[in-house]
Amino acid sequence: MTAYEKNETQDDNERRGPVVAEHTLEARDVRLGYGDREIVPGLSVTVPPGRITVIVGPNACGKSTLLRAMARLLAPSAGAVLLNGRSIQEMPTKEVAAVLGILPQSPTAPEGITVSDLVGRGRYPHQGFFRRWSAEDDEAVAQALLSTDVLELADRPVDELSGGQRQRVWIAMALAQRTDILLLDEPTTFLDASHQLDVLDLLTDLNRERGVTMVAVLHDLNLACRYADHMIAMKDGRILAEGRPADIVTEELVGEVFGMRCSVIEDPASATPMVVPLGRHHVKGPAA
Amino acid sequence: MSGSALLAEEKPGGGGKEARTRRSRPVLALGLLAALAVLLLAVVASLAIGSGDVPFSDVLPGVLDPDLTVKGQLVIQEVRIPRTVAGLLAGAALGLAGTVMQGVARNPLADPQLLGINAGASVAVVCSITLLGFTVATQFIWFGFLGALLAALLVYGVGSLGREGATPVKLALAGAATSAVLTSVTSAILLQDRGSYDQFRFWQLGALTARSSEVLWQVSPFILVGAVLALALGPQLNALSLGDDLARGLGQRVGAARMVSALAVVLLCGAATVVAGPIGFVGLAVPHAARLITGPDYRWVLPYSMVLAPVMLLVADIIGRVIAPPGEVQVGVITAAVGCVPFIWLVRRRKLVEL
Repeated sequence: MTAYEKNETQDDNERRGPVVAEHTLEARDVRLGYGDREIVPGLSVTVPPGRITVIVGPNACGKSTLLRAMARLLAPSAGAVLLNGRSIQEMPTKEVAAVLGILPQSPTAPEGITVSDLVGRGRYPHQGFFRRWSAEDDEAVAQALLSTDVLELADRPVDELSGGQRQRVWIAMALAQRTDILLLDEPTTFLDASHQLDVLDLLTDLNRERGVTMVAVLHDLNLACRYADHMIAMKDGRILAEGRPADIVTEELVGEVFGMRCSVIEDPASATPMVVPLGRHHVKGPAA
Repeated sequence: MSGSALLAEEKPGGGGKEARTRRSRPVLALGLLAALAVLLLAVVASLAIGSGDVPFSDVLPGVLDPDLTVKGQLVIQEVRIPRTVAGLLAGAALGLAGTVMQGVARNPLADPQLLGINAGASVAVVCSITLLGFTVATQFIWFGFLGALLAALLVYGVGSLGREGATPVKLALAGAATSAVLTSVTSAILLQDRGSYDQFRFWQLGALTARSSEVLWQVSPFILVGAVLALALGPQLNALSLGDDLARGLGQRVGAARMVSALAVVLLCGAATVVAGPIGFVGLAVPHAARLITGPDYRWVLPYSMVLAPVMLLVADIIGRVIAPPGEVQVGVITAAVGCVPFIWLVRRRKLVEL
């Protein structure tokens, strides 16, 4: 299959936003696991600042585990995650929270909380015991509501919203935290196709306009190819390939990572790689 | 981004949101004042109503400038004031403890009674009195804290077994089992000792009448410290209610917040049990009632619970005084009877299973 060509170099510069992110995030030789079960047996990765990085891989490949470690939710048994060169586990957690925000997979909102109150909770790291709610907090919340397009829902209880609206509200909460780095664990799970696009467009807007460094775990390979500046493909706790989707996504890689036959063609909309899976049925003619 | 740009033109500055938060804070503050007024009424009623024959005209002098030769004023001074203060202390402690427990465990069923904390305090105090022979509150109050602490550790330990850690369901099951065992131990000890059974019966059910004013004085500093800790936990509980991961992501030291919460709960539950025995349902029902008024913001749920819980306890106690003349029904019985209604309502509500 040679249909796909690397014709993206010029376009690629255009899609990268202004790089204002000054913070660096990397994992150095981290070993990760839960109890005795080791999931990531030593791995190093550097997150490109100001870019959208997408981690893909089959279930249980360690991609969420890696994301949790980078968010300091999981302490590595060896190695370290470095934020601006300092071990994230040794930094005061509020200091980390001023730089790095996270959105876990399917978070649950307290019952009856309104949208604006939930988004307001993103201001927690900016409040101390003696420093209470301020005009700056109000402004951050209003802007987060505005840029995620949920301002008109501000007074509605989160329980009553649709899945797509709710996910935008959670992203608004993460935005209200005003961090330069945002880690998202499957932000499009449980959303229908159009809302998946909405969320990824929103993340791209934030990346381009504010230079927020994003790291997201995604399940949909084709959306990952389309939206990622930098892609990390993982299997069995190891990184098999990383780089621009156009550079790394091949039939061989998809076969190796997902154990799935496919052909890779050019996405007619975005000119990024598009993975067409080939199962045992519904494939015309002899398999490619 | 075109959608939000369009929206920005429609609603400049996000004024709607600001207007809402500015309105709701004074409303909640006024509501708290109203709750305090209701509490004041409950206190007056608790001083004025009871089996003893006390004319209403004796209530105020009996509190402010008692003439102990007047029988009514003597009753006020010797019986009803300690009883009312006991209701205030135990109520505030149980309301706050229940709120903190529900917040930390993210479990709407968390309650000092259901999780076995009160039963732990109760069995420890009863043991210290009947087996070790302590008679002075300054001695056995420490057993109250110790029992609350051990029960909390036991329940949390058992509830944390297994891979997912302390899930709400496992905590509730471990708590219910612990509570049942400890309550039956208390009963067994008390039944051994028929002579003191009547005197100590309230360790099983809870009553406001059993403690002298010295005990109340000795317990109140602990309740004060526990209350200050609990009231300061509002922002922490708000962050925790989003889940451990998000709380950590927002920069909370989750372990530290849990420790402070546990300390507050042990202080409050231990002290409340020393004052009034193991009283159930107050710590469960009141935070939910408070949440109906305030919404899920713990910075408001906590003070509301602290004010509303003594209202419930005092009203229950007053009902107990008049419901079965000439005798009285212990307050623990009334709170359980009254409290089961919101409990059932709560269980029937949606979402409980997911929590």
